[in-house]
Amino acid sequence: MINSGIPPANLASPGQSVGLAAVSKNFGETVAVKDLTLQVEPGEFLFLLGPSGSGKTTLLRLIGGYERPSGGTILIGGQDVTRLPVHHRNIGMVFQNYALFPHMTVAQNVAFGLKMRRFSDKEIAGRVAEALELVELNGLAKRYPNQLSGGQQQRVALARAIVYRPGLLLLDEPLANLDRRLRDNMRLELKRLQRLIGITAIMVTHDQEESLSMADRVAVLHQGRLEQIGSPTEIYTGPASPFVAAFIGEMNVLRGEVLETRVNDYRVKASGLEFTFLNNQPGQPGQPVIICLRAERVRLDKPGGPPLEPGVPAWNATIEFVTFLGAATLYLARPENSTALIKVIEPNASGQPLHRQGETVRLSWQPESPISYFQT
Amino acid sequence: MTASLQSNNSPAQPPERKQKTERDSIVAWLFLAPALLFLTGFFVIPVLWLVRLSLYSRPGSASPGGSRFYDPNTFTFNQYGTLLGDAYYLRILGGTLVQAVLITICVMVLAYPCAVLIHRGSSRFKVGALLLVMLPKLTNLLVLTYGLLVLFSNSGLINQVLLALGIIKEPISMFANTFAVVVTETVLLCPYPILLLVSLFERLDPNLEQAARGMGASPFRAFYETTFRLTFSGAVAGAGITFVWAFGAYVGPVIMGNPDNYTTAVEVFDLTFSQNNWPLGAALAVSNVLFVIVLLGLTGLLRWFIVDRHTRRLKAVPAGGQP
Amino acid sequence: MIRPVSPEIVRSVGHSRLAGLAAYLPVYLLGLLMLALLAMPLVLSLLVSFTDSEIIEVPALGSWSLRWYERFFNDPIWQIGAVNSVLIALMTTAISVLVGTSAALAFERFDFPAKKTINLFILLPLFVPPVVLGMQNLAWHQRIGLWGNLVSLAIAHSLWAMPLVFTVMRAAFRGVDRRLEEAARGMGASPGVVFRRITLPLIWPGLLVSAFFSFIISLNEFVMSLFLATPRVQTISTLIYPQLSYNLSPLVAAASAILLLLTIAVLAMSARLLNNRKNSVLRNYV
Repeated sequence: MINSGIPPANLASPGQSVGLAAVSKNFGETVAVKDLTLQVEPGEFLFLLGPSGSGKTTLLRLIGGYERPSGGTILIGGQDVTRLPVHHRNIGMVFQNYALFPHMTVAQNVAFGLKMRRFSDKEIAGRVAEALELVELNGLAKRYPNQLSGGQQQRVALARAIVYRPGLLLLDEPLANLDRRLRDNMRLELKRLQRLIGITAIMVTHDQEESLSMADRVAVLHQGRLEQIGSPTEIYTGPASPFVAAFIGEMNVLRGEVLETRVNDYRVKASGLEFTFLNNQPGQPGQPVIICLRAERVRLDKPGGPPLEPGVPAWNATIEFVTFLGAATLYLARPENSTALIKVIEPNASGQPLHRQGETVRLSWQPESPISYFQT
Repeated sequence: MTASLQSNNSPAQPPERKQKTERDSIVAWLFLAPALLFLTGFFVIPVLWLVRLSLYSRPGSASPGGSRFYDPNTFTFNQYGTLLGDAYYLRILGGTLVQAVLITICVMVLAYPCAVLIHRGSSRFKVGALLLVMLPKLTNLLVLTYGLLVLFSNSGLINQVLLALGIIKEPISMFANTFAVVVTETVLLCPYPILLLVSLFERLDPNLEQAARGMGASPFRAFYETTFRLTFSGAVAGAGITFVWAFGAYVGPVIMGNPDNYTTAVEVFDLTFSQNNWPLGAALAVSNVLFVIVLLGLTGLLRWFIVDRHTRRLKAVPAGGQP
Repeated sequence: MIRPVSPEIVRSVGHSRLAGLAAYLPVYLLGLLMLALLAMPLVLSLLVSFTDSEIIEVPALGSWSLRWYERFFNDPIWQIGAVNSVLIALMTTAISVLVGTSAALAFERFDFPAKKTINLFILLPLFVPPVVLGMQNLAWHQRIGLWGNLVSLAIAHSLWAMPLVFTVMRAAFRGVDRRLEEAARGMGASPGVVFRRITLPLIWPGLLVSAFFSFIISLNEFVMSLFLATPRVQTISTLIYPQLSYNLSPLVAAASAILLLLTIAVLAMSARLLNNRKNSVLRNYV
């Protein structure tokens, strides 16, 4: 719904870089953000992803200036803003509940930041109109926020945050209050808008799907620490820790230990299953290991189905649960002689589940699919 | 595990605690200063002065240049001795206490059902009734009292109706007696507990009573087991507030009662203005406050022993009665 | 998780309505009695004030008259009393709203030690019987030479009005989402501008309510006034009082009715103003 094409010159953003160096934040005894360092490039769309209490919102508020860090330095556009109050940082912020001023019309809401910057009335009118056009709300300028739908409010909040051309847009779960269909649309719109005006954007979310679909890079936070930062594909295919692995996508997590280390590889036994890993990081026999295996990387066949490539591990297993997901089906399968229930997601080729509960199947995966982590 | 992480729909809220900085604290005290100064100057110091005043001796012509109201340069506990030693004052104190208890009982017996009625009424009725309850607090005590006077006097509305119906032969005296005092004070004091109870009822889960009914409780039993038990501690608090005010009653006893109904509050006024004995008036006022504080302390203890223990037990049941 | 409602459950709910009504009947009757007791005096004193006769009686249909109101407004003593009442109420409003709002702001926007204790301290005067408040104010105001001044009464009334303003304004400040203020700051507004353009407009209804309540409380306060009034400084209340005890005439009803009408007028006005102000504000926050 957001207008495509060339951005109005007045709305193009001087996208600014953001740098965090060893930033910490304590609330009394609680550590919200710990010793965090990261760099955001101009025009980049960075996602802060993590569960409740991971410190992602606190981090956003630190960048915005709503909290003062307990330690470390924050740079915006190369300038040290650690001690700069919020209203001098030239940022745009979109809140989860939108925080639209209920006593002002849509136009007045959007005009607020321009008024603070002492633009002339004429210029304000022009820019507000442009911003509202950009988010396709031109007809609603005179409405009050409570007369708008959730999606419309969301777009007012967005227009309000970018109209004065800030170098940085901060978004605190802006899509969390929308229903699913609207949210999917808004993801695309938001992404396109950000590209269009070239603004640097940092968005907080707890929705991994959202971050994978929209982000240039994703920073995964856990207990106030940066677990991993990288492109969505990097995060998805090469999770740096069991936490990241388990947080992104549907993952089988198995605990086991190293059986033996050989010249080129080492063997691990977990829940009665045996895995072999290339020996790029040597492990000692008996060392505990966490093994992560994506549910969609596991293959199900009829027993004695098509022949497998050599070296591909395979087990006979019994389907214990079948959950129809629409386009795909989630199976829980128990391999023979194993205590583990393996999650498997398989597309429904014929429109319905290919396997039934109680059925015996052949379970296999490519040798490179499982990822191992040594437990420290 | 992964599923539970993904379906986590409660996003992290920013910590509400604001960072405590020196500057913040100073600004806060700046905003607080007017209230603290005002209360210190016109509430705390007057209380202390009242205590000091009660330790002067009464004005005598003997002290040249002395005040008309007390004898400066004296320090004596005589006033308290007078209060404790004189059967007259002890009788007033006892009478005030009995009357206050009576008023509190009447208020609670009427206020609780009234709160139930308001709570269960349609939203329109609710607004009207709540306004009606608020009105006495917002109108002059004297207006209300005057209306009751008109209602209760020998030529008043009730007597006229009863006479016209032939139920009585001559007017019943509903005026200048304890009945009139209690009714008046009940009307004057009921808004506090009613408003308190209505707000408590509104916070209760409306399904609780239905659930109790569904499990086989009779309507009365369901009401008792859920609504009543959950609001009992609130009702006790309401009764406490009512008692404090009933104990300090002035208007009802003076206008609707006879001298037997006079409370310590009336006596304070009388001592101060009719007898010009400010020290004794002050001593009585101080005693009044002390007495109420002791009584409240006792009820607080009682509440802690009976009600809170009971509530703690209720809270042990998971998800029980959460608003 | 949606399960069909079984017929038994439906029936038991319907059944409980009727049975509930029967069980509640005594409760409802007591409740109605209470409401009647509250309403009757007000209605009666209004009615009596319109009587044509020399004695207190509810006027018959033909004999309505405004003669007692004429008497009220033509009597200089009552005139002065009315003016005093309004002046004191205005002063009380000014003191209470300024002091109470400032304290509420401190409580809702800042952290400081001993918050609970200070909260209790501010509310304390509400729990002190009026006679004691009256007596202590009298003693102190006499000492510092304030006695016999209108300000003396306004200060005493503020002891009740200010804690109420404090409570109302705390709720008002709490009703303003902190994120609105944060959003404004993010858009470049300084803390002062945020207060003036965001917070103030949003707490405006609370301020109105506070002001009107203070005014009404002062207008109608009686016991403290009785202590602090002097022959030269009288309010409508202190003028009504001796009349009630010694000289019961419909003039008192007229005076009472005027207080009542003033109160209702102020209430209605606040309701009007609150409704007229940008409905959006109220729909979001009330």
